[in-house]
Amino acid sequence: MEKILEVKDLCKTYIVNKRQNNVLRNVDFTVEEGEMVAVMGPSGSGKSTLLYTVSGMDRMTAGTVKFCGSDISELKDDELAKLRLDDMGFIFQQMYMLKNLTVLDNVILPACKSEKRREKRSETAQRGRDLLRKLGIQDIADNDINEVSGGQLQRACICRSMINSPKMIFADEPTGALNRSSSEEVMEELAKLNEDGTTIMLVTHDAKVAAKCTRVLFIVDGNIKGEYNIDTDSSIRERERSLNNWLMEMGW
Amino acid sequence: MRTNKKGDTMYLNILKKDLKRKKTMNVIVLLFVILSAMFAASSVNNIIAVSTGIDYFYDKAGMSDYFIITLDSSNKGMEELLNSVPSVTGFRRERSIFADRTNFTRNGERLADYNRAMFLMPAENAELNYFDKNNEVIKAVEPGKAYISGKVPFVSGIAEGDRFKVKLGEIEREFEYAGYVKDAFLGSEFMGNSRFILNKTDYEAIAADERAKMSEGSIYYIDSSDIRATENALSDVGGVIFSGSKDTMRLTYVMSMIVAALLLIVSVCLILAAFVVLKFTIGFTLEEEFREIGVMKAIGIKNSSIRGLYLVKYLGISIVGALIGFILSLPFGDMLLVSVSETMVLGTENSVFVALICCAAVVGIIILFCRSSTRRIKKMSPIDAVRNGQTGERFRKKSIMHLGKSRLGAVPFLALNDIISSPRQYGTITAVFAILTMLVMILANTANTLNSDKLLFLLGTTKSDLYITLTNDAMEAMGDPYTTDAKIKDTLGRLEKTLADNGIPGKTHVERMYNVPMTFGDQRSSVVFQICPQTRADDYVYEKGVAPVYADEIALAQPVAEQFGAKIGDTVTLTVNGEDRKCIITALFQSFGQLGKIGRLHENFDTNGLSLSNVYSFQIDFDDDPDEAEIERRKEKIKEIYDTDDVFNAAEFVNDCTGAADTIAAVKNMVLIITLIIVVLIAVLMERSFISREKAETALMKAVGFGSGAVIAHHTARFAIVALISSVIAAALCIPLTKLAIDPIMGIMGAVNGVGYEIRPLEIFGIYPLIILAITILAAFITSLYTKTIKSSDTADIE
Repeated sequence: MEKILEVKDLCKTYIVNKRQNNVLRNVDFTVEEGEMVAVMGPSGSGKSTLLYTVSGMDRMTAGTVKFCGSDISELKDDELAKLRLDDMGFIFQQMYMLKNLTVLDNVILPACKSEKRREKRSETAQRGRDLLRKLGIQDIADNDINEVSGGQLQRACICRSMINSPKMIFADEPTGALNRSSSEEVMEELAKLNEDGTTIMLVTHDAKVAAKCTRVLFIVDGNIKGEYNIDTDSSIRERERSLNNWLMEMGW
Repeated sequence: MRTNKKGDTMYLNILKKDLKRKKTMNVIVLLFVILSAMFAASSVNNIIAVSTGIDYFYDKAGMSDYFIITLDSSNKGMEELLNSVPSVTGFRRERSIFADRTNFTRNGERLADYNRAMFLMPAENAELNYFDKNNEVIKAVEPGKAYISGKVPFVSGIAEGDRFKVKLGEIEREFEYAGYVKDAFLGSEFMGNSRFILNKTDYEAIAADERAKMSEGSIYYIDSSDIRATENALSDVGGVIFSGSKDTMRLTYVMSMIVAALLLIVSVCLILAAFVVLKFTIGFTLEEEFREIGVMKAIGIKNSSIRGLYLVKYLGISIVGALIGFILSLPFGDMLLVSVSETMVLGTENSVFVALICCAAVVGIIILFCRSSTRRIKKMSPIDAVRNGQTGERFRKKSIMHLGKSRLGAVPFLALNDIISSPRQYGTITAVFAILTMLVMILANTANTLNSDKLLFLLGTTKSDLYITLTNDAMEAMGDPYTTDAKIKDTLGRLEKTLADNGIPGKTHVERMYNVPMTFGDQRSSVVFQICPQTRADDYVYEKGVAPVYADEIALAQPVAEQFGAKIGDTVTLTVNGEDRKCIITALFQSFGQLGKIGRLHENFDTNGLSLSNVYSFQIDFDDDPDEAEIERRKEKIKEIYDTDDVFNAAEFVNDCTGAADTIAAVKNMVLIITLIIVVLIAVLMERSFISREKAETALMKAVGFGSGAVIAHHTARFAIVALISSVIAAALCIPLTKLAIDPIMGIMGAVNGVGYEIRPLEIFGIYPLIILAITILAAFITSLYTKTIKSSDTADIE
């Protein structure tokens, strides 16, 4: 397996009211292609900051982050935007979408902006519909975003993150705003994507969600305190139990 | 609203927090309140000042009911006549020496190339109140100094303290320019005469010269109990070069009134623009607060208390804004009125009070806006409010365009889709931009029309290649009524010979004007008639009837016909040298001449013995039908030959006669500048509020891979599209609206049936829309650079 993400000595510091707040302190980890990594930790530990910093959405204070071998700290804003557009997908806790567009248009928007594929607009729209069908929400394609449920919207957000066939998807608490059944549906879809070969890194508070991943990074006070490889051959119940035990050991 | 101390503190804390947290939107609302208050206060003041302007000025100046200017300096005969007319209740007389531009020099050059009669007058003999630039009555003038009214100070560019010379006959005296004088009688744009007010000693020294004495005449200010009777009684007075009633004189301020009327339209548009944008801004700042409203409702705070909170907030903002707007309205109002107030004394004594009332009204209106906008709070359940005002029920699809079916790129699609998805929001901005653009276009059409040959027919002249003013020849012809024809013929002959000698042969003619007493029924009054023996009566344009064919047929301008109650087919009596001549009215026409009170005689009408009251410029029609460029070249050549600047092509001649194009063009330029300022303000403030409102979407766009450039292009493109649509609307409506708005103004000047307008496509449909479009794009672009501060990671911080 090739390394898709290499993080070394990553630091992120905020200055708030002239006080220095070191959110990430010399974080080191790697993610290999095809992995599904969960980042867990208490509130304020720096999980989301880590996700945004390694995905180039936020600038790091120090350290290096290599995505597919290239150091993103050396990229300009526009180059980072292009990287996010073509090679990364994002899923947020709140199902952010542009309110003036239909669900399908929101899904295909990154593809229409990207120059990665030379295809007709109708072909892009068809790919969008195929993705929606794959996630079982083809019926809401032409709906406005306020006409659909939160679970449907989050699945549409997954479709949007997939539309440019990214090398890696970053998800910040993708099930955080969903009820239990919607949450399970969304996680199933993410797991399927991962099975199909898409690398995923997600932030979660939920051990049930993390148990569907292949590895868990536990972060406390801006440092990775521990790392847990999940036995993907065991049953989901067994995974959850062993993960919970490990989390308890880590002080969760 | 029943609250305890704890409750008051809580509200105060919410308010404080709101003002701090929503700083941008609050500042935007404050700026629009300032704009609204400023426009409302200055515009209402201007409306009052202008609508009462002429009466106020006349009252202050002490204008009489009727006026006569005669070439007779001996008072006796006229005094006896006036004393014998029962309807004359009193009269005053001013001595004046009549001069022209050749009598005034500065540094060896002509003081002003301005071709109207000029008057010298001693201050001590003033029978009207003349005002300086500070609206103080000029009671005396120091020896060696002179005040000047009318256009000369503007044309010459003379500044206070500059020196100039007056030479009449053998006497030459040097004067220091003491300042501009506002002259109610002669200072209007249409009268166009400049009056030089001197010290009596200086005046007498000039008047001592024999030639100056010959040029001395009188201006009579006559008070009358019955204007018509006075007019009838004085219709046979000889040597009159001008007569008119106060009502007629009012019309000479038509240009100032036109400017004022245009300013009024501008002001109303500006108020509307500011209020519309304000209502919209308040509406959507409240939308931003729905979540807080929902939380307050959820914890049990009453609707009235919640509404009260926002009403207090907007009351505070509007009071602060209205106060600042009030202060700014004072200089802004002065700036709007400057072109009117520099020649008239305007009543602005109550302007501060009026401005305060207007600002209070703005506060009241804002609170009403706010009340109507917060009415939704009552209807919404707490959860509706938390969902940002969405009730969950939607009957109209928001997305009309579909990216999947569009050929547009992602950025232009998003821009266009935003506009189509929010028609009220962008429709408001489009309407405001379109109104402002139309205003500029209408003014430009008016100025261009007044500076084109389209209005030639209203001056009672035919179209010629060139027009030349030969004042000396004209003055000479006006001397003996029995030699007038011969002298004019001689001048025309000499002009033709000069042209032929210089290799540019052509035919010449000139319009002459005679004051002829006319009687119809019991109506008798002196009417100015135009005639040109070298043209045919049917060369001119008539509104009704047919051109006079025989010598005993005449045409009348519509206002004259109305004054006499005469119509086509009626027979009137013209008195020529005591002889009554019956003439049939065959046609009615429109004219700017004498403010529409003019007639036309057939070319064969015998004018021998009639006193010539005026001649127009001498007209030249070249034999070889040259093109425009050649005409321009010949114009310059003739200027050299005659050593004069008074050679015009047809368009310039119209401009010179109406004297209005430059004024309207100046107003248009001012309106263009105001329009650009408003457009920039709206673009900047609205774009800033869009950025604030769409922070989440912008962050999302960046997160999914839109670069800063794409986001800026998206924001800028929306305003570009809005400006483009507004330009198209303005272009489509500007021609009918020009006719609708300006025809009544042309009617005041005498063109009662409207005119055809000069539309210059490049300027109207190209230059102005492009300027407004470019400024809008620039303003939106610069403001949208602020989106750079929104990062993709801000998606994590959005509520």
